Amino acid sequence: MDIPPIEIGELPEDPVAPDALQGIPRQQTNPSRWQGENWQSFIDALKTGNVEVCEDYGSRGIYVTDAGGLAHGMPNGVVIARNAEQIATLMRLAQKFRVPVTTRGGGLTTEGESVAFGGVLLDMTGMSQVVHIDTDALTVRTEAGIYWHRLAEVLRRQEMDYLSAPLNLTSSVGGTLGVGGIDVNSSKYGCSADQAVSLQVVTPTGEIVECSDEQNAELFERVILGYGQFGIITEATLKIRPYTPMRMHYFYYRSLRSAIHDLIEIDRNDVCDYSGILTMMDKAITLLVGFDTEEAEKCFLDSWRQRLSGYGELGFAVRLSAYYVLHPWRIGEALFLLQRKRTLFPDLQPKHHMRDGAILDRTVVFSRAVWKHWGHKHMVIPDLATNVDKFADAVERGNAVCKRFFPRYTLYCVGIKMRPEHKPHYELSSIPPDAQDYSYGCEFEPILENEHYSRDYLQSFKNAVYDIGVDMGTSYYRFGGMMKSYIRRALGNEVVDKHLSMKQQADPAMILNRDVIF
Amino acid sequence: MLFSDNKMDCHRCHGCGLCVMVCPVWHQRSDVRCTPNGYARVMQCGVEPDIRDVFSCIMCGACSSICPQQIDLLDVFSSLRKQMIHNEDLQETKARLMDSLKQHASTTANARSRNDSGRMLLAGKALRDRPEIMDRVIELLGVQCADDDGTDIVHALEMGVAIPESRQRVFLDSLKKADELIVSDGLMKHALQQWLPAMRIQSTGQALTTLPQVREKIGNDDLYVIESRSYNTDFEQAVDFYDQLQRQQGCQLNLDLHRLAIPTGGVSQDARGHDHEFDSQKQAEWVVTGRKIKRIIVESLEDGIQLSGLNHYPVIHVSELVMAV
Repeated sequence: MDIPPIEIGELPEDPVAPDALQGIPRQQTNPSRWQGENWQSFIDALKTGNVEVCEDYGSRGIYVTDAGGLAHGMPNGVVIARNAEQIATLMRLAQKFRVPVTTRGGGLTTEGESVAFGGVLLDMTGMSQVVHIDTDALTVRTEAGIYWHRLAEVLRRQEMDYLSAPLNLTSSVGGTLGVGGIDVNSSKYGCSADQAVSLQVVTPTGEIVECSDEQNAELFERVILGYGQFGIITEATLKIRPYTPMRMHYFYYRSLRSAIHDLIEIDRNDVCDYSGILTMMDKAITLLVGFDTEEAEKCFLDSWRQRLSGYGELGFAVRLSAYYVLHPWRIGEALFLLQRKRTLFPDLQPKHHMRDGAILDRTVVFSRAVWKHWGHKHMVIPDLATNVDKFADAVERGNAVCKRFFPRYTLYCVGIKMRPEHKPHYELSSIPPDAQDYSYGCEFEPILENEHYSRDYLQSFKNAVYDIGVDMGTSYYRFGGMMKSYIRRALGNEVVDKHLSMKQQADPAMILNRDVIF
Repeated sequence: MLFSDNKMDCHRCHGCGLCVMVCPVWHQRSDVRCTPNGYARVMQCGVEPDIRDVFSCIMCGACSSICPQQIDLLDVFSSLRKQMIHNEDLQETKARLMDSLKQHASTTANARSRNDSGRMLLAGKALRDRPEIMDRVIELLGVQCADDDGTDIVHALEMGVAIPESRQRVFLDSLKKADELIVSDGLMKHALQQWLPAMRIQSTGQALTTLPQVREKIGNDDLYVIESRSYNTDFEQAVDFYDQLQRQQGCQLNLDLHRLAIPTGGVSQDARGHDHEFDSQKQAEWVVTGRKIKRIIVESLEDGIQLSGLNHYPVIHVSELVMAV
C-alpha cells in the first residue's frame, strides 16, 4: 500500500470543552459529527437495494449503550446483518450518501466503541451460522457475528473447541478479531485475533474480499486488530483443536510483584496450558495455573511447584488470618474476602461441571461467574497492556489508583504470546510496540455492587488508569471510543497519523466506525 | 408469581446477553429483538416490545435459569402476553382458550382412584392421547391419575390468557388432597410450585428415572431427552439429579454447555396451533446433531413426536424402558 506522508501541523483549538486534556492540543482529524444529512435518500436507496432498515424507536433503543453503560447514543436506523452482499450494498450506499455505519457484535465494548451516534447500527449477530468444520485441517469457517459461546456449542458436537477466546462468551468472533481477545491460555496460543487463518471482509467501499497472510495480505494485516476501521469481517476461518477438560490449580500470594514474577516465569518456560492472576484488591492474589492433560499437570507439580513462591490454600489462609489479627481495624475487609470466597469458589468449580478433578467447559463456568459476581450495568474495566519489563510497575501503579477510588476491586492479569510474523498486525493495537515475544495486560475492575457512582467518578477513575499508560508508554486493551485521545498520547502521533492516512484511503467518506480510533 | 405485573423487573437487566446464548428462538432467527435482552432494552427505552417478538418465545425457561440478576423472565413474558393478548390478531386464539377454561370451570374434578397412595399424576394432553403409555406410567409410579390435569390452564399460561378465579379454584381444590403431584408439563409444574408452595411436586420424567428398574435400562448409547421446561424452571435441583444419571448410566443428555435443557419446542406447539412460527423440526435436528447414539429416550411425548419425525433413531418414552409390568 502506498502511504503518502502527512504533515503534522497545528490545528485550531477545538472550541468544545476547551479545558479538556490540559496542555494537550486537540486535533480534529475526522469530519465533524454527522447531523443527518441525506438520511432519507439513503434509506430510499437501501430499500431499492433490498436492505431492510428498522427505524422504530424500540429497535434502535436496544443499542443505546454498550457494556460500559457510560456512552449513550441512538442510531437513526438498524440493519440486522444477513449476508455479505447485503452489507456490501449498505457500505456502497453509505459511502455515496456519507452516512456513518457503526458495527456491533456482542456489544461488550466499554468506551462506546459499538454505540452509534446517529447513522446506521449494523448488528452483525444476524450472521451467526457455522459454515463448515474441518476436523482434519483443524479449522472452522464461521459467520463472524457468531458468539464465541455458540461457536463452542457447535464445535463440541464434533468434540472440538476453539483455541482462545475472551473469557466473556457473550462477545462475537468478528468483534474479537478486531480488538484482540484474551483468555487464560493466551500465553500459550496468543490472542484470539491470532487464531484467524483467513477472513471474508466487506471493505468500507463495499467490496467483498477474501484475505489472509497469503491473499490480500495488506488488508488482512489491517483488519486483524483493526478496530473495525478497514472493513467488516463477515466470515472467518479459525484454528480449532480437540476439546479437553482443564485441570486447575490455585496458588496464593500476598504480593502482586511476586505473583507477577511467577506468572512471567511459568509463561516464559511454557510449563502450563493456562495461566493468569485474579485478585481481590491486593490482599488475596491468586495465580491460576491450568493443564489440558494429567501428564502436564504431574510434570508441573513435580518440577515447578516448589519454584513458585505462592502458598496453598491453607498456608495462605493462616498468613492472611495473622495479618488481620494484627490489623483488626481491617476486619470489614477480612469479612468481605471470606464472604467472597464462599460465594465465588463454588461457582468456579460447580459439581455438574467437574469430572475426575477436571473442569468441563471452563469458559462457560468462568463466563457465568464473571457476570454473576462482577456484572453491573456499568462495566468499568480500564486496563494497561505492557511489555514484560514494565508489567509489574504498571500493575502496582494501577492498583494504587484502584485503592484511591474504590474500597473493593479486582485485578485480572494475563499474558499474550505474540506471533513474530504478525508484528505488522500489532501496529496501533493493544499489543504495545515495545513488546517482544510476550505482552501482558492487567484489567482493573471495581466491584460496584449496589453502590451508586456518578458517571464523572467512574470516568475519572478510568482516566487515572489510562494516564499511567501515557506516562509509561504502554498500550491498552480498551482501545478507542471515549478513551481514543489516549491512543495518540500513549502511542504517538506518527503511528496514529500513518493509520489515519491508510484509513482515509480505504474509507474516503470516513463513515465506518467513525470516532472510534480517529 | 405468574401473571404478576413485574415487567418493571426488566429495569434490573444490565444487558449481559447470557439469555441470548441459551435462547432457542434466537438460534433460529438471529434477531436480538425476540430475546429477553432485546425486550428488556426496548422496555428500558419506555416502549412496548413488538407483539410478534413477544409471542415468538416458546417458554422453555432457559433464560430464567441463567439470568445472573435472577429476573424471573418466564414471569415477565407471561405478564407481557397477558397485556398483549387483547390484540385483534390474537382474538381467535384468546376466544378458543377462554372457552376451554370456562368449560373446565363448570366441571367438578374427580380423581380416578386406583390406589390410596396419595400421589397424583397430572398427565397432560400428550400422555392422555397415548393411553397405553399413560397406563404404564401410572402402574410404574403407583399414582392416581387426575381427570383434571389443567391442560387448558397450561395453554392459557403459555398464551397470556387470564385464568378465571373460579377455574383456578376448582383445579387447585382437586389437587389439595394429594400428598405429592407428578406433573408432565413443565409450565404447569412451575405454576403449581408457586400456587401450592407446600406441596411436593415432581416432574414425570424425574419420578420415572428415580425408579431403579427404569434407570438401569438407560445406557451409554442413549440420548436421554429431558423435558426442558420442568428442568430449566427447577434448575438448581434438577441439574444435580440428571448429572448423577449421566455419571451412573453414561448416557448423553439434551443439555447445552451451560447444562440447560435444549427443548425441541414441540410442547409449545399445542397451545398455539397454526400460529407457531418456531421450527421444532429444525430444533430437534440440533438436539441430535453430532451425537453418537443408537436410541433416543424422551420424557415428553411432544418431544418424541419431533424427534421421531427426523427418522434418524428409534424414539421411546422413558416408561417404555420397562416393558409390561
